[in-house]
Amino acid sequence: MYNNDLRTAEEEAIAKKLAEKKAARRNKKDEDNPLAITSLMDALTIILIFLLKSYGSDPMSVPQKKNELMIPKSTSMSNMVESVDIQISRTSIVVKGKKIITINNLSISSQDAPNGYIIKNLKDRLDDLRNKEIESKQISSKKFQGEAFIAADTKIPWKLVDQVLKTAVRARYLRFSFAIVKTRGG
Amino acid sequence: MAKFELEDDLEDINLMPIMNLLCLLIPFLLLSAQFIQIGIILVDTPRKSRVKDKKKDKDKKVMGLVIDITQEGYYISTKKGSVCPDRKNNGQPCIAVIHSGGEKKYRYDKLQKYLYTKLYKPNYKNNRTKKDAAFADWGKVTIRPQDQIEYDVVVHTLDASRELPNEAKGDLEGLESGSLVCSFKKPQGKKKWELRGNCMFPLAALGR
Repeated sequence: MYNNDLRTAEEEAIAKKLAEKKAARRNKKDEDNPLAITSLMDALTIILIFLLKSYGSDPMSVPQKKNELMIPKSTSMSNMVESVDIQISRTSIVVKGKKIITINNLSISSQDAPNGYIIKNLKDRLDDLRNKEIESKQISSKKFQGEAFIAADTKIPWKLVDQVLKTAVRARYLRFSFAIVKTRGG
Repeated sequence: MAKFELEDDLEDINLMPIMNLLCLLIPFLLLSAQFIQIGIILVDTPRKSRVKDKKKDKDKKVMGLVIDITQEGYYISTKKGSVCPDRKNNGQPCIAVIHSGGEKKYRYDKLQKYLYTKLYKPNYKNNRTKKDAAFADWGKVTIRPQDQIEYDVVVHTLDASRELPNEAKGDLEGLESGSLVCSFKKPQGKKKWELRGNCMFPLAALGR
């Protein structure tokens, strides 16, 4: 009985001392260092590095816009490589960031495609790009590959895509990569 | 003693300006970064596909697989003719569209299984290696959509003809690495694309 009382008194004293120490430590911290931001800095730096890395991993980007340019989803696992990019949205055709044609009612006007299929302005732009590519490849002794990357909206009719493909073939671009949103990781 | 004096003299680096910069940079990057993964589907034009075929062994047979996408559904044919002659004679497509909730739906799953059971599986053994393939154009398909077909339907049709269905895992012997993943890869510095994995009809040509 006596022993038990002694132990509890001892334990209480130790607990009191610990609490005092804790309080003192807490008070000391408040006085010395207003904010411990080093660990926060570390976390933010890691996030920043991750974001910068993921930002620059794809050779080309496809700016998606609702009701304008939403590329289809697919199970394809193939990755893109750098080539001439053609974006076909519901309102325009853009080649390498330059708007070439305005689209009305999901079709190309007869002025823009006088013979029904070949889109004149698009062909001129692709011819220019091909000539530039050939020139630059001659310097580095590589061959012109004639590949084009096409990012088209899910809702556009096939005829529009077909017109772009036929025009590109006329400009000697013979192989195409269709942009898709991957539904499987990889 | 000297050490203590030195420590007392040192002041902590002021991290607040760097913190401010990071706090601005991170939201900016989060807003502008694309978290969706963009991939590609590789397609040829029919003209390029035909030129390649001519160069190949003339003694070999040609499958000549063609999928026509119409408003009614899929018409599938080979060099021998329609794959579903009875339905074609009745003016029906091999795989008709279904209407649900006021919307027309193409049956991609059914197309994939149809291609697999009718055309891929029966010819798989004779075309396992590229060198000894019975068909000169094994793995090739020409897809011909009608003008008003939506682009989304074309992409899903390409998926259905390229990928093997799950049942292939149990059916087919000698599948590379046992998975049903099919992809194109262009090794750095090389001109040609390489086909990786197990595919059904991955070499698609679009249009007429």
